Amino acid sequence: MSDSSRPDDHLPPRPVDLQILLVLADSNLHGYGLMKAVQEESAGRVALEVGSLYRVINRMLDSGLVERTDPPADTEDARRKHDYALTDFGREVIRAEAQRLAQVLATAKSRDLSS
Amino acid sequence: MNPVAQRIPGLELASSVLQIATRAYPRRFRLEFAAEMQSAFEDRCTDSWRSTGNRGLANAAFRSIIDVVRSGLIERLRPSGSSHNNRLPQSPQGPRNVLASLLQDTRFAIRVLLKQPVFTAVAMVTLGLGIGANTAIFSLTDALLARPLPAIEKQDELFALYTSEDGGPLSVSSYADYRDLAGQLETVAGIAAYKPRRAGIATASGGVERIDTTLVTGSYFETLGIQPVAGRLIGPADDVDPDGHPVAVISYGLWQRLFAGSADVVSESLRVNRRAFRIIGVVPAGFRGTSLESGPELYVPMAMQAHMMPGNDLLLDRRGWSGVLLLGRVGEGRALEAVAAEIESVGAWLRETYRASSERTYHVTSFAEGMLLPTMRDTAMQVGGLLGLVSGLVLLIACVNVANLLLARAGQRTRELAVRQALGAGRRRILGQLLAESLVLSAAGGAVGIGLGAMLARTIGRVIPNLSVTPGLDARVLLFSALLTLATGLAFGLLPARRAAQFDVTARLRDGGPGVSSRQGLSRTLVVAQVAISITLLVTAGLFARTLINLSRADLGFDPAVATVGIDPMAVGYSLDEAATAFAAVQERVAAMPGVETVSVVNALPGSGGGDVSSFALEGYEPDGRPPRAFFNLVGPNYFEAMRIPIVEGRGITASDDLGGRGALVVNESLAAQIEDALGEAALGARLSGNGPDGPWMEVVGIAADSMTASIGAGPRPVAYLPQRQTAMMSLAGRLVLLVRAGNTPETVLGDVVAAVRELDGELPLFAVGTLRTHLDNALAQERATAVAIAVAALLALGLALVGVYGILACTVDQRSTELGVRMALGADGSHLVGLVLRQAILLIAIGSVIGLGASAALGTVVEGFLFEVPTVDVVTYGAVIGLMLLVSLAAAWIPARRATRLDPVRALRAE
Repeated sequence: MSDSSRPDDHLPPRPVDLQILLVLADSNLHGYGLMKAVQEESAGRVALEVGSLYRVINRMLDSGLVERTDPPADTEDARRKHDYALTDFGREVIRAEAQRLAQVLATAKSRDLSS
Repeated sequence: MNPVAQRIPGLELASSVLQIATRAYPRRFRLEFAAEMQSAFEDRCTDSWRSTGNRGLANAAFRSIIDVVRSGLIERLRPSGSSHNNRLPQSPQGPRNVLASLLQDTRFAIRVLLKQPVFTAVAMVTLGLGIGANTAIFSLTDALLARPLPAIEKQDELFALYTSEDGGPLSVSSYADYRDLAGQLETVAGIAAYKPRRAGIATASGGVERIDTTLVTGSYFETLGIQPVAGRLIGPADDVDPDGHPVAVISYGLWQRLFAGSADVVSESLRVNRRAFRIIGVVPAGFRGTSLESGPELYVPMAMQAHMMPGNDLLLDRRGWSGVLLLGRVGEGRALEAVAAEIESVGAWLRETYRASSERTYHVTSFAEGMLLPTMRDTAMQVGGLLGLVSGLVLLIACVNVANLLLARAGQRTRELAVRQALGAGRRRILGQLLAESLVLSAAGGAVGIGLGAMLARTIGRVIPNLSVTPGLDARVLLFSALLTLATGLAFGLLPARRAAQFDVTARLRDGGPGVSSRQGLSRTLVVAQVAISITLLVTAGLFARTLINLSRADLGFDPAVATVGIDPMAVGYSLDEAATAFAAVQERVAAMPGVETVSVVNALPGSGGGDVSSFALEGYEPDGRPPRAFFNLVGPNYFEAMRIPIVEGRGITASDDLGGRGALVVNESLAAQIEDALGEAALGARLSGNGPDGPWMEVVGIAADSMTASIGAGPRPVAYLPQRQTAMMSLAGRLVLLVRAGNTPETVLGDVVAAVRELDGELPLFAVGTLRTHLDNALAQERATAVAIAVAALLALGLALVGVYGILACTVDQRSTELGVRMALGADGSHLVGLVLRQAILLIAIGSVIGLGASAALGTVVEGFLFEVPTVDVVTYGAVIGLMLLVSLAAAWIPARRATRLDPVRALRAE
């Protein structure tokens, strides 16, 4: 966990990161579950492969956006499957990003972009 | 493993490939996520298989694996890791950016090399030594044999003219022949004769300085096309009346030194050999004469030779006497072949006309080749060629060594390179990058080498006496070294780079894949090559060392523990009479000094290269063809006592053998045998004449034992010893060496002897001051230098081979650690394992030795001419070299072999 960092330090998040954070905001998921959910939610625009996924997870663990949770007891091979959950800090980052995007959207609407 | 996985065909294989691929990640990352990644991968593949079958599975697996490798590498290159800087520069697009790409590759290569300072330093020094040795040898031979002279116009039109008698070595010509050639040749634009000589000039401080001088004919400067920088040069009008033209042309250096470059120098007077010469002009700065053995500072007309060479009026009128060098310029529109043909026919006419005194055949050579006397040129070419060969071999072995280092390094970088390839770096790109590293490395080595080479060449240039050229760096040498450096970089870089760039990701990502073993095979081949080259150089060094030992132990036939002081009174203008008086006075003074046993004088010290080989007449003997020849030396009374040369028959030279005597001489045993063969009677009492059948005759009064004359190791030759006092009117008698025997430590009297000479005349020029022993040692300098150079090269090669053997065995032990561990676990003892490793070393060394000995035998025939009493295939040398090689390489093999016995079987097995 990086206590010293503020949500603004992580803005804007990379598209992939944002996608993962949004997925985890709904429910905790293990690796493959995350891959599938991200692909579904982004309508196939963000396709994560295993290697990249864990690289991103590693980075988000480092910056304290997500955390590992104990896997559900009924999982067949518990050792091989961790679930990942959004931390409070991660949730703050999403909120901050949503506000930022709203501002961006408002600004964009105030301009005449039709021409 | 996921139970589902077992039911899906191909998933197991894909899974194990992925496992390998995860090795692209840093270890820490793998420990944390590998199992999860494996699980996610299997789930993904299973889903794909369910939805789209085998195709889907293959597609998903392929994409995942590539992604894992890619992500792994990116993870390794994360800014926090030190590997960040190793990010391969991206190739800029488009042909415009080739230069940028080259620069980028170079910068990257420099960074990579700087990160491995030890490897880089070892490779740089190795290459530097190899390139340096070659640069020095090239610079030297180029300066001696091929460098054009500045200030001479159209050198390709110039030629040198040498003579030979009876197919003997090429030699100098006679002045009389020159006059005939100059008068008759029509195909030449000019022909000139010159004679290098030393002379004494008066300095401003009132002293006398000996400088290199050249006597030149009036056609000399005109033929060469030299333009004066002040005044005029010697022309035909300055070379007409014997002794009638005391004029001189000085070098640019002398002009600056004595006259501070003053324009008023023309018509100044300069005392040359105690006579005033009028300076008429100055030659350009770049002109340093036309002989590489001297760099004259003074030029005087040939007509002045009687003054310059007192007692030697022979120059102008004696045809049989050889002493001048000839050069000429091809006539306009004529070919050198036409000139050669005309000279051939004039030469034939000369032989016909002057049959009694001249047997010369004329040979035309190019001027660049003719700058060195042909005999010296031959020696220089032989020694230069040999050293070139040796330094080439050292460079080769250096290349082999660096190639081996690069191979080992490529082994460590296998995965890095594989990942780069997986990332999309083309084979060509990686090859280019690796080659850039080799070339940067060789450029660094080349820089070291050029520095070393320049230093070495300058040192060698200083050691060689009387060399008018200074070997050093010029455009040609730099170009040679640059090309050599480039070739070196390609030679040692290409093979490892090609190996490393071969696209074989899966094999590379697994440790111990096939790429490694073929690399080992290549390394082994290189080690065998190193051993073979080392053996060859060691054998050659051994042969030269044995030659040197034989030479230094050779029976001289005299005792060299005598002090020597050469005196050249005629160089400062003494007449022959005055010189004879001076020598008598000096001998008298020295003989009276305490501790001095015997004093004598001699014209040509053994091994000094002086003296005069000429034909002689034998009373009562009509030669059948050529008259007999002998080496004529002038010796003073007590010469044989002073030298401790035994008199076999009759007597030695005494003080009564002077001008009043009846003409006596002593011959050595070889000449005595010749005389006896010719006359059929005893040599003692026979009568000889050096001036032809008209006498005056000299009687053989004694026979001395044979002793070393021309050079150590050369067989005995016929020698006639003429009494110095009886021949005092010969110019040879004007320049003698004082011999002083004073117990076993002749050095102690040397200072007193020199003081005695100085007391007589402080201006007398001295030479050969020392002892005969040191002179003889110096005479072996060339042989010693050659032997030392080859020995250094051989030791260098041995050291490099040692590193090679060590490297390959250390690698082998690492590679076979599992096998060795199993053997140990099964109860094999240490000595068995050591034997196992050593066996491989011995095999490599044996193969290398056999090849090396074959190459040595071949090289032996090349160096045969340099050897003295050593067979080219010398069992002693071969045996010693093989022994040394075995000993050294087993020592190198011992460390890895010992390590094999210290392996922990458990760890070794776990490593698999």
